[in-house]
Amino acid sequence: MKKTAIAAVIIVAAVFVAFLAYDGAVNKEYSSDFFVMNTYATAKLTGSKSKEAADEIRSLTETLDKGILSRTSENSVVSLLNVNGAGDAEKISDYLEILFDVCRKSGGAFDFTLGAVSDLWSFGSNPKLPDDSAIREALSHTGYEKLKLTENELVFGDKSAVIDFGAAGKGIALDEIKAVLFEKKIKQAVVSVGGSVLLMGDKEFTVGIRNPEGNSGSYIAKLHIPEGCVSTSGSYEQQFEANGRKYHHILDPETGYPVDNGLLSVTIISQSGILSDALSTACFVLGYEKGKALAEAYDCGVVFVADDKKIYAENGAENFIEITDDAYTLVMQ
Amino acid sequence: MNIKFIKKGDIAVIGVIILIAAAFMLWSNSKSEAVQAVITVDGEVIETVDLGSVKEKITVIPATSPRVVITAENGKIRFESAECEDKLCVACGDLSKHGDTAVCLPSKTVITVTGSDVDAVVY
Amino acid sequence: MKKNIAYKTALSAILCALALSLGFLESLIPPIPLLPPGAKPGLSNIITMFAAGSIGLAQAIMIVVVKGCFAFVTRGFTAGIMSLSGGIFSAVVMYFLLKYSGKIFGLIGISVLSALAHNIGQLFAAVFITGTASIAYYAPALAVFGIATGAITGVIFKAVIPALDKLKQHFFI
Repeated sequence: MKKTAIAAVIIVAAVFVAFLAYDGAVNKEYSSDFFVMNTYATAKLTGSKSKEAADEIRSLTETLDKGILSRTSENSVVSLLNVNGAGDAEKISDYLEILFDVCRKSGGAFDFTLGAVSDLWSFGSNPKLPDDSAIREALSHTGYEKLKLTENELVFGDKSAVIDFGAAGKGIALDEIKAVLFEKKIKQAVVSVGGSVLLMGDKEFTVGIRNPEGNSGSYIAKLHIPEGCVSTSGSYEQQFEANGRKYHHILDPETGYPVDNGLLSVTIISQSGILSDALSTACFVLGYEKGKALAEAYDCGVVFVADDKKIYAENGAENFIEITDDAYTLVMQ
Repeated sequence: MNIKFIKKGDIAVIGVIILIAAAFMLWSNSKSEAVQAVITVDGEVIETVDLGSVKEKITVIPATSPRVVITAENGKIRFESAECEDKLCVACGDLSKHGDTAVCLPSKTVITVTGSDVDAVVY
Repeated sequence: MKKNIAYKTALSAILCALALSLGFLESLIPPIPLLPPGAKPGLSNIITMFAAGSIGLAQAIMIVVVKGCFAFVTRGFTAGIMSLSGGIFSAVVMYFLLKYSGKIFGLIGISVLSALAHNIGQLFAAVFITGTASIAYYAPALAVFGIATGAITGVIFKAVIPALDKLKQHFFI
């Protein structure tokens, strides 16, 4: 009996030590933050290859930006397409198909061919109010219907059309990052690319919805959600004032001017990064009623924050949300 | 088993556990009150400011281009001025609560107040 | 001793069954507000304690392993690991306290310390699973709660010892 007891104790002790050693090896936490795609990114990863994965995320997003999405780097896929008005889009064809679908289902409220118009506003550097005539001229060259994707070949019906992935690029980055995290067998991850967030792992995450009047770390509500992607489009981003009026960066493809519909932000919860990013813009442009219907069509949770300090959570998001700022009220339908 | 139901040692051990638990609670409370602001430039930590203990005004000017000036005072930290075009970081104002964050993209400078109780904030 | 192995196995099986049923009974209690999540009275610890005190460490550990496996099958990986980790640690602590500390502690003290050991084991598993040490901030609340539950199980234990002893006698151990 004594021997059994001693053996049992030794086994338990060995298991304990093995546990500790295994835990240390498997649950290595690694955080990094860096600047990419004209924005700020953070990654908190847990796994045996967390550092490797973080390094790879960094280089991956850099090449994704410079090689594919960036409008400022001359040889990116997007730049070449814009210059030539046609070309091989194999590297982005999967994403393009999704974006075309969002364009169609949103009735053009989302449109990635607005490049020429948003250039006039020069958001991101030194925004200014463009001439109305210039906007109208630029608008005549927009419209996703003018573009055709056939077997990885994208052809612009209007050679002056300019595509811009500004409203979906961060989401695409999240989808690419997700693949890296899987490959490196990361157990848990919270990755933010400019405020679009990828959550991965078997736990309930808490994500704050940015306070429209606060800094980028302060929030008005919490979402308690399992893994997935969350993106927000907010009118508080890249705001500027001209002629006594405030302007923000979310443009209505119809008018070429910032959307003015009483919304401060729209947040989308989706399993897909690109969908969460694109739909947050689309739903912002569409406004509450139509935006809700669009999110429903994609089976995505959606949270609208309106300027009368009312919050609407729909399509399941109402089950995840917790308002943390007393100034805001959740409207139950 | 001929072990007594209750002995003096039991009361002593219960007392000790309660004391340790209370001490731990006090300690963790006092720890969470210490608000720290971390200033990073391109992902590297260049300065950590204990906002709770800042009495006199502190000014930090990281070696960045464009130049930014960060000041801390009375438990608050902020981008005081910036030589960039949009000055979005200055517009963020005072940071004092756990998780508060202000980012200056052109100079790659970030001020974060540690101890956010969410995994991330979407914006 | 060797001859009794069949009896011992049978007794262990009965004790396992008792521990599992008590665990099930406990799961019927609705969650109590204001208490830390996962806080439970831990009635099945009575059985573990009996095994640790009057049969042996191996039997006590076997009971908690069976309990852990059961939690694993019925409530999933996380619950399984938590149950195993807490159970094994508390069984070991119980065994040594019952064996060597009879002069210092009474049943209540031993029961409280075992409950505490159970909590520590579970917290350890939780930290391991979630990968964050911040859960350890639950420790003080759990410890205070452990005193209450430990005392309760101690009292019940005292009351059921005669019955369990009788059960044991049937097996000539």
